[in-house]
Amino acid sequence: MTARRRIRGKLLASYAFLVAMAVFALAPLVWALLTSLKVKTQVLAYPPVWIPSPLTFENYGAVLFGSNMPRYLLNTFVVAVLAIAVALALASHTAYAASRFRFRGRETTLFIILSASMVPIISLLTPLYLVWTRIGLHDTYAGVSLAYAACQVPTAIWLIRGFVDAVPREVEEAAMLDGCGAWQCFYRIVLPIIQPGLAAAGILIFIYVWNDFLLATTLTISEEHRLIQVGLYRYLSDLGVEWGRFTAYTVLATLPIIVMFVAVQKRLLEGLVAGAMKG
Amino acid sequence: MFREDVSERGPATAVAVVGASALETGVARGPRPRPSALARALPFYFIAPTVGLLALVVAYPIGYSFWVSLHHTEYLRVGPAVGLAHYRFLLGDEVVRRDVVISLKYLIGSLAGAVPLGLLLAMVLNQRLRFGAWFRTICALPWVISQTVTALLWTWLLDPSFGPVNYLLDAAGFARVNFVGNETTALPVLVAVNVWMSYPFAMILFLAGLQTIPAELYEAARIDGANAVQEFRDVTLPLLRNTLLATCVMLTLYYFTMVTLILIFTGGGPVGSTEVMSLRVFNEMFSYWRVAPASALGMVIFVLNAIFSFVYVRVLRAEAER
Repeated sequence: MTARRRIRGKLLASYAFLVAMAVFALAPLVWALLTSLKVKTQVLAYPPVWIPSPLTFENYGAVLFGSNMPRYLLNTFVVAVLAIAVALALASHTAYAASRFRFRGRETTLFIILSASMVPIISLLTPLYLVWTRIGLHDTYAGVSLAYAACQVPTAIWLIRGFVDAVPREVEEAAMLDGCGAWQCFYRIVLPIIQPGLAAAGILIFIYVWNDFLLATTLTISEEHRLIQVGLYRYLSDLGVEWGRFTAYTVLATLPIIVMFVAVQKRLLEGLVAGAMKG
Repeated sequence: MFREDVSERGPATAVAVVGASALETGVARGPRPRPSALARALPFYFIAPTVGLLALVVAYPIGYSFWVSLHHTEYLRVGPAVGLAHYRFLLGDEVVRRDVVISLKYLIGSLAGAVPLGLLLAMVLNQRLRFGAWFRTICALPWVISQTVTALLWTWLLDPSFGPVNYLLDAAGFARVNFVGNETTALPVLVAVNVWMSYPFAMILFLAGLQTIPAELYEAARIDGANAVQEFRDVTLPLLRNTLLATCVMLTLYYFTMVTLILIFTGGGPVGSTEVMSLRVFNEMFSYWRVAPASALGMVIFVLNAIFSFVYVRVLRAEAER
């Protein structure tokens, strides 16, 4: 009896803790969502109005049609796609070489590539700004995209390599007997099999680009190339304390990421763990 | 296959000898024919683009940064060489010393919040409870919220006049607090916000680590009459050691080099009470355009990071060999 009671007590404590943590995690996000649906007088009401009434989408309208936000969304998509394309193209080849080829200097090369991911962005920011300005990459899609791709390539390599390692060598050996070279083996056989790995790496890079502020604010300056997080920050500082608009902006800028995260979280978390444990 | 000794030389030299060995290909010499020069050059072609990109975006700028840090600069112009003068200045500067202390407080405070919270959450979630997957998803959510959004959102939640947190304080009979505008509360509140944003990372890694511990070990411990504390101390902790170590190191590197959250949440203030080293680099460069000191401090952060990573890799290797 006592044992069962103890188990029940433990269960109760577990759920209480989980509920408390869920509230801690969600409350700020829910509060933002609620605020974005309020009319101006209710946003600044005191004591605060918890549930908006009447519901209004006025804030969303103002952000979508009265600000540059759609442009920033487009910019972010363009940069993310470019960065993903470059990073995946480079990372998949390197991952294949790391998994299949034995050559001298292999460990050293891989170690150097991994070390590159250990360089903190803040140390790179100053020189990257100077170099990009000098060679004309400052404030261009290509400039930011290359920076993002380089930052994410090492993680992508380690993530994708796990998938290449899992491809049975017999498949390739059979193809080699049929006269396939290494290139064909890679493009025709391995690449299609490791698609889930490429997808996971692509999603991780997308989230990184979408959420980054530091490189975006340093390497772009014009509105034509501004990315979403910088846009959000500028919107608030230009507008002053307009929390209704700001939270609508936040919801629009965060929702795609949350939806994506919930949809693919299993693969994503595996990717994160694999990427993190590469050391 | 290329698995064995595709090239005894480095990939770079392999390219150089393409011409020379081309004739040898196809000529069987002994029981195992040497792979063709083309085959030996293969790894080079697969890896070179990655190395090229990293050289352009990481290696060259870091080298350039070091070179700049040895010079006098005026706005973006690089002037005469001054040796290690900027580094000597940083060593003696009181503000830098203050920033180092703030960085350490920020780092240790954040670790002390995120690691236990993440571990506890992972252990609770590892029980395979009903709705466990839901709770895991919800608790992991802050991980995908950007630092910008986190900073702005919490700025408003903690707003002294209209924020809900102060309302709750008020309603509960406490005095209102101007959390961000106050020198004594700004850093603790910043740490708390950082914990909100980063505990999911620890939770996810700990959960992955816990799932590798076989359930039989816990059963065996229970049969031997171990209580929850003993179970944690004698089964969970030793088997989770490497995950714990790795997570702490990764969080340390992350916290130590963070900028965005602090830049937007407090901007380093009030009166510099939240100016960590990396934020100082950002401000030196993009607020005051003092390029050389910014480069020098950036190099210091880079070297500290490198030393820390190196020690960590050594410790892990030693651990693995034991």
